[in-house]
Amino acid sequence: MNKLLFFIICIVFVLYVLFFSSCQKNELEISISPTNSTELFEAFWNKMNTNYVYWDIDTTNWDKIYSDYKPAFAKLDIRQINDKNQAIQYFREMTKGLIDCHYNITFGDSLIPNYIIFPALEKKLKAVNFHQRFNYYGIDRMYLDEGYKIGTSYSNPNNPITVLYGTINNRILFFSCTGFALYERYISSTTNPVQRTMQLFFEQLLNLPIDIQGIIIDVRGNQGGDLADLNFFVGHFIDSPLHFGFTQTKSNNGRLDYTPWIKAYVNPEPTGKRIDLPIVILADMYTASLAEAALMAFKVFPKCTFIGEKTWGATGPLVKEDVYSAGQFKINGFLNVTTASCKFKYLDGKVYEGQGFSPDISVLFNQTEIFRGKDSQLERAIEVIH
Amino acid sequence: MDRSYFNYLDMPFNCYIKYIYLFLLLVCECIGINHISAQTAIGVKWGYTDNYINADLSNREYTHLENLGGYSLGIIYKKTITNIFALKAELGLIQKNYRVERSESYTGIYENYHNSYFQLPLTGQIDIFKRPKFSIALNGGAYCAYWVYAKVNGVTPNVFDTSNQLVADGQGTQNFYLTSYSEKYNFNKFKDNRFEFGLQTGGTLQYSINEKHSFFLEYNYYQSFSDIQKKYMVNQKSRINQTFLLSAGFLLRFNKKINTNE
Repeated sequence: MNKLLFFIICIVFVLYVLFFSSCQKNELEISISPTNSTELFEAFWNKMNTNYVYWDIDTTNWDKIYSDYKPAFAKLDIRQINDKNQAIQYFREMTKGLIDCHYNITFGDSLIPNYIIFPALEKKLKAVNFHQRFNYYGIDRMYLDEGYKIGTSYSNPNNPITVLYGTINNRILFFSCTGFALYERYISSTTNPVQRTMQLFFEQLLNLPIDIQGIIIDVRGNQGGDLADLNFFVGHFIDSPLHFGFTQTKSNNGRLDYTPWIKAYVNPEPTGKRIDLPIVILADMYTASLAEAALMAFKVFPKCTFIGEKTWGATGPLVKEDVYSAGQFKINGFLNVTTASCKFKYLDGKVYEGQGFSPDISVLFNQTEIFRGKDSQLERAIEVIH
Repeated sequence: MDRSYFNYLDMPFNCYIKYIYLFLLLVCECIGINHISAQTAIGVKWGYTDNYINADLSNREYTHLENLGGYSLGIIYKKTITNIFALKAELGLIQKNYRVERSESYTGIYENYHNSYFQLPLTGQIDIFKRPKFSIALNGGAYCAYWVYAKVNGVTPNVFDTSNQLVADGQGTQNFYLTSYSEKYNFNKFKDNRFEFGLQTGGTLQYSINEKHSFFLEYNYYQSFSDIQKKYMVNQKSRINQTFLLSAGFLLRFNKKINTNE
């Protein structure tokens, strides 16, 4: 009888060990269609917890945000207009310290439609050297030789793009663009002014006149755009892959779960040609995202100089959420969050997110001179090449 | 009680074994066994592991967890307590690997985690079938482990390694190249819990060549009770190792008979 009891104990032990796992409740519950303010808070907090890629370097205490704001949200009735406003105020407070300079929240019909929270912009507005965004192509045309080309495309009315190409004193090639959707415009079956200007610029790059001593690329005010433009534009200046940094994204749901760093490249276009001439990049505090990536890629070139202001500091690329299960996300009807899908680390081992990339030669925006028709940053670039 | 019995307990590993031994003596008394065969054996074993990490990735699109194989190597210290009962301590290196794999349009993207642990299981083994040269036993016990080394390899889409492709008139698409990587994992002291403990169970087939030498084939299951992560954030979900080990080994016995009625 005792032996039987002993065997039964052994069998119970075996079964307990084998079936232990099935007793665990281990599901990450994220409601993407919340029905009340607590569910809305939980959904937002959890998605941020899993998708935001800067938790290892961001100083925001996300756990404290949970303990502080969960009770506050619980008191809200998101059907009431006053509580909707209060919820938006809470979202602003929760995210104000995030370092991701892409980060913004837009709200849907269930809260306040078309309202936006943009922490980086709020910080920039308080910066000492803050100035309004300025389109330089108007003034820069004065510096170009006759025969320059300018083209603006309005195919995306929310994002019109102007490109300007020409020469300065027949010795410097000049190119500027106010945004990056160049590849899309270039391959468009509908002839457009951007397409023609790009064709001429690339033809000139391929057949550089002997008198050309350098190239100025102006991405001031350029807030980035399509990822495809990195290869399409910078790829015309190289004939082999250009290693310019590293990317890292989330590997799992934990706040500190990261993939290894992998190398970031610009790949050459089929007609790409290695350019050994001095290159000057003009950028300012509004140069962001893909424009910063292009700037940093050019900075790998041995004869590249960056003139202007420290850039915006939105260096992490954006892709659809399902590519990495990281970055931007939405909570149906309530809000859309734009945030980087990966961290970017430059070749020097530094992450410039939230800080911006510093110029080799700092020339600040000077509104007085601009009103007089003088672009001191461009003039400094011309001096450097001469 | 025989004094020589305590001399045996002064051997290595006896800190834990002493208490378990005393407990088992009590069990032996309860079930009426009074002839103890204090037979000691040492041995080695090699094995293949199949580990699953019990975690939740349901919120990550087109992503699932899979078992991943590994290897195990250990040395065994076995003490036979009665005709049908023995205690085993094993010190070894065991891999508890797992794989995160993606599906559908992300097929081909994966990440393999190779985690090596030093593990010390303490096992009770009871024979349920016994012949002079052949026996079948059930094992059960507890183990503790220390995560000594980790490596990660995989394939991921590279957002900054792409090619542009014209797919139709005026329409382009961007293809991400897949980048493979393989590197040592650097432990994060805030996140990684390197100590593991749990229960184990399994079975052993043993064949004795002669009085001193025997071979065995063993199947074990290790259920961790500890998370591989420290508790470092709110709403944290656990990740628990569940490991199967199929191993083969060799035992060398040293005989000594003891009568507990003395």
